[in-house]
Amino acid sequence: MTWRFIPLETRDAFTNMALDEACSEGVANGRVPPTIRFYQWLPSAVSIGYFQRLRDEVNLDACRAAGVAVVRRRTGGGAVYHDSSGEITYSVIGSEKLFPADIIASYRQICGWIADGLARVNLYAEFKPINDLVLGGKKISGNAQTRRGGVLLQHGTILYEVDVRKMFSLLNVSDEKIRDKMIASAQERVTSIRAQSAASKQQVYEALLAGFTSHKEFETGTWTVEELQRAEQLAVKRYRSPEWNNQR
Amino acid sequence: MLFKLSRKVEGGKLLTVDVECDAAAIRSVKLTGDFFLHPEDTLSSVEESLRDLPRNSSALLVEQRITQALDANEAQFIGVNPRDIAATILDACKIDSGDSRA
Repeated sequence: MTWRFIPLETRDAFTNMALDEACSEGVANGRVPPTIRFYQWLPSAVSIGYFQRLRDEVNLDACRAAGVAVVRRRTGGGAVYHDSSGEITYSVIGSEKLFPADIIASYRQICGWIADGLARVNLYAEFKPINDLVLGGKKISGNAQTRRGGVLLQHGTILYEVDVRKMFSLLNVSDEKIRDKMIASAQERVTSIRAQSAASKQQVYEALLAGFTSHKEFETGTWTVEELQRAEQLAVKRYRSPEWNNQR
Repeated sequence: MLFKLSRKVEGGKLLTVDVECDAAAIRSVKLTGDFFLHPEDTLSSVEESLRDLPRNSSALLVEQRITQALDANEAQFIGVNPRDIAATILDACKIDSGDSRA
């Protein structure tokens, strides 16, 4: 079985999420192969988890002032700041049958591909259940998964460079979340590749590509016309709509 | 009366409950947070299962309602669990009317 690999591309937040969904539909219908994609976000964006309350998580005024887009994901999990130049995002989309039935085991497996990639630039990350990768105890990658119609979609970020002050000016981080770790500032929980390595973003991307595709049959490919058209529909109908983003 | 309470679940995620209750019963519950639920659309069934529960329900009863809704849909939470949700809902209803009213 051959995976389709879609190389790094840069799109807006709504199209990025819509492509994940369009691809998931294509996989469910047998029209496209299981897919791995890498992407960036332009403009920078905040995505929130499916179950989060938008106004609890995001400083909407600050996002508007900074020209940062805001979108609700189809996956659960937390609020994430996607800096245009500061991170690399991936999605893995394939039949559930390709992955362990146990959800945490499937996070471990896919996060293992990230760790494999980072090891190739001498960064040794560890999987921390439920859905994080940590480097020296600090979070370098967050991930989120949904399983719908027999298809698993997992997407996540790898932090290349982070402006923690900017990140937390756009997000409302609740003290509750960090209280039990007795850390005074949320800034201490997060790290980036730049903080720990001289590897360039291109080197990191190529290492991740290798980590994700090793031990797999894959072909570099492109979106089908159908996927692109469907993504355009979904971006308008769902991801750009206030009804979707404000639903909780 | 509306109450809102957030709680970080041990080793897991952040849960916020918005509870509408009166002297007799929990009228409605809304759950938000950075947890996962598979399948996602089960959440409304879970919230519905708690509608009109007597205010003095035990934590065990509330937990059972949630678990039944999950089982009926072959669903699972990741990052929160029914017991913590139940405890947070009941604690929300005990908040002194002088603070934390949504």
